[in-house]
Formats: sequence, structure tokens, C-alpha cells
Amino acid sequence: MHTEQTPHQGAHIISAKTLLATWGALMVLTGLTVAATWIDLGSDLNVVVAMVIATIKAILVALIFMHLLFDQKFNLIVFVVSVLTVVLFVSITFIDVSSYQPSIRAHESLEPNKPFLKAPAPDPASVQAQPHP
Amino acid sequence: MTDTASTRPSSGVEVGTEGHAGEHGGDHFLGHHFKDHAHQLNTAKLGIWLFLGQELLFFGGLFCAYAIYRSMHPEIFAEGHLFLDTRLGAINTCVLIFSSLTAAWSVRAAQLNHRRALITAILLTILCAFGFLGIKYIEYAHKIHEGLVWGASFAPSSEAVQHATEAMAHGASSTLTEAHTLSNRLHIFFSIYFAMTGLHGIHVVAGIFAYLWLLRRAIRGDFTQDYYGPVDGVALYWHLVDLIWIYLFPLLYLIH
Repeated sequence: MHTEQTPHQGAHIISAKTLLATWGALMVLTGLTVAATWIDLGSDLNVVVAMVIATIKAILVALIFMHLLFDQKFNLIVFVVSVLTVVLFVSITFIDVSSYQPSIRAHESLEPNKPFLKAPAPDPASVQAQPHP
Repeated sequence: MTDTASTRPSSGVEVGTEGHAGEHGGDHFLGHHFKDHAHQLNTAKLGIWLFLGQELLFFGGLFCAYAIYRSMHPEIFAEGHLFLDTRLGAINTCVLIFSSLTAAWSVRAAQLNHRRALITAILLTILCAFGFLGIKYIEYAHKIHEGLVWGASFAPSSEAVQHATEAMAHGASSTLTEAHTLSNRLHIFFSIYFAMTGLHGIHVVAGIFAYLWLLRRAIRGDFTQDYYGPVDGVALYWHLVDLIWIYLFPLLYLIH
């Protein structure tokens, strides 16, 4: 797959302007994602907004800084397949975890508020009284 | 030497056996099993991309743990992020994004045969990597000092709790205005925080070593417009490290 596109050394040189513009866009989006947390959209929508902005940034980095836009397409396929595999992995874990929830809830209702560590995390009231460890 | 498109020796000419860097500077870096430099570069890049795919899956396990715990116990994330310094996180994001720019610039400089620009770009990238780790060190030292650590050793100091309560009062989070006791699962947030940022930090350290190696080779004059595969490969790795942080920053520091 790599020998077809040799006339230009298979390499694309990204112009200084494009690199700087990409960097500028990434900085603006970083500012935007920080600003978005100051606005209350409901905790679910806030997460969605943050992830959409992060994904736009990731796509900019991947396509321009990582040359995927100009590269042999097989590299793009490797990257996209890896991302999809992570998504699949997380999805299957969610299906698995949610299938246990009824029995976990049933168990928790038998022993409510039982901490699952030997040393329970202290609540602020008792922490205030304790000296710093 | 300045023509970027056609300095490649015409196909069929045996270049791999030349022992010294002569007119075609750096040809002894062309493996004898490759047709030409483009062939070698594209093959190396595919290898790097397969490695980066593996890296995504490697981090994927931690992102999976994050997603599961956040969906099951959103309150520990809403409380936990109040203990993190968003300002330092934002500064580190800017530092990493700038280092990504310099990394991309190093590839451009190598492709254009600009040796001095290449060395400058590599140096700036290393500087940013150290800056990132320095800020990370300040954050970690602060967390450890305040007892904000993982698992059973989690014991937040009263100052830490007070800071978080103040952040709460400043309206940094609307989810906490009612609650006055911290979740007894809060240590899970810090386990995830240290695991994710720690693994990311290890990657930054590895990146520094890779860039120091590139720096040595760039100063020695190994890289030319024909042979710059290592510059490209390390830059790709560095961009992935940046890419991971692009997700870590909002997921850990910017919880509403």
C-alpha cells in the first residue's frame, strides 16, 4: 500500500500557516472547554459538551499534526479501528456492569452504608477535629 | 539538495550499499530491504501507527474504569474535582498543546532540511515536556501532602477539605451545594486520578528520552529531507500523548 504514492516522497509538508492556525484553534477550544464549565447545562449536557470539544481537538491533532489527512489512508484505518475497539470494549463493560446492578442494589439494601474499605474515608466533621496525619 | 520532490535517487540505483553519507547525505540510513526512502518512511510510520493503536487500547482500560465509576457514582467525581487545581491543569494543557506544535514543527523542519529549526523545535518540545512534569510535580506533591491519595491511605487534611468547601461556595459546582459530607467513596476518584495522570506522566518521561535521542542525532546531522523517519515517529507518539491529555483535562479537572 505504500509504493503507489512515491512521486512526492510519500511526504506532505504542512505549511507554517496551517500549523499555527491549528495551534490557535486548539488554544481557542481549550478556552472554550474551560468556559463551558462555568455555564450550568445540567451535569449530563456539560459532560457531552466537554467531550464534543475534546473530540474536535483530538480530530484536529490527528488529521493535521499527525498528518492523517495527507498520509496513506491505511494509517487512518489503523487509528479509527483502535478508537472503535476502545468504544466496543467500554460498551461491553457497561453491558456487563449494568447486568449486575439489580443484585448489587439488593445486597446494598441489606447492609446500607457499609464502607468497602477497612479504613472508611472520614467525613469532614471528624476530619476537622483530627490533626493532620 | 533544496528540491524537496526529486532528490530521491532514481529507482533501480543501488543506494543502500553506500557506506558513507555523501552527496545524497544519509543514504546509509536506508535499509537494504527498502526500495527507497519513501518506502522505508511509510513502512516505519505504519509500525508507529500500530504501536499508537496499542497505546490507545492501553489507556482504554483506564478510560473504561473512569466511565464505569463515573456513571455509577457521579457524586465522587463532582466532589473529587474540587480538590484539583483547574488553573494548573489548564496551564499544563496549554504547555502540551504548544509542545505538539513544536513537535509538528520539527517534522516540517526535517522535511525542509532546516537543521537549526529542527534542533530548536526539538529543544522547545523537551522544554515543554519538563515544564509539564514540573507542574505535575507541584500538583502531586500538594495532593500527597494533603492526604489526597489512592485507596485505603486516603485521608484528606482539614485544609484540603476547607479548600474544596470554598471552591464549592464559589459556585464551582452546583451539585455540591446541598451535600456537606464527603462521599466515603471519594478515594476512588483519587485512585483513578493518579492512575490516569500517572500513566500519562510515564509517557511524557518516555517522550523526553525519545526527544533527547532525536536531539543527539539532529545535532550530529543524521536527519535530511530524505531520512527523517525517527523525527516523524517520535512526533506521532508525542501527539498521542497530547491527545490523551486533551481528554484527561476535561474528564478530571472540568467536572461541572
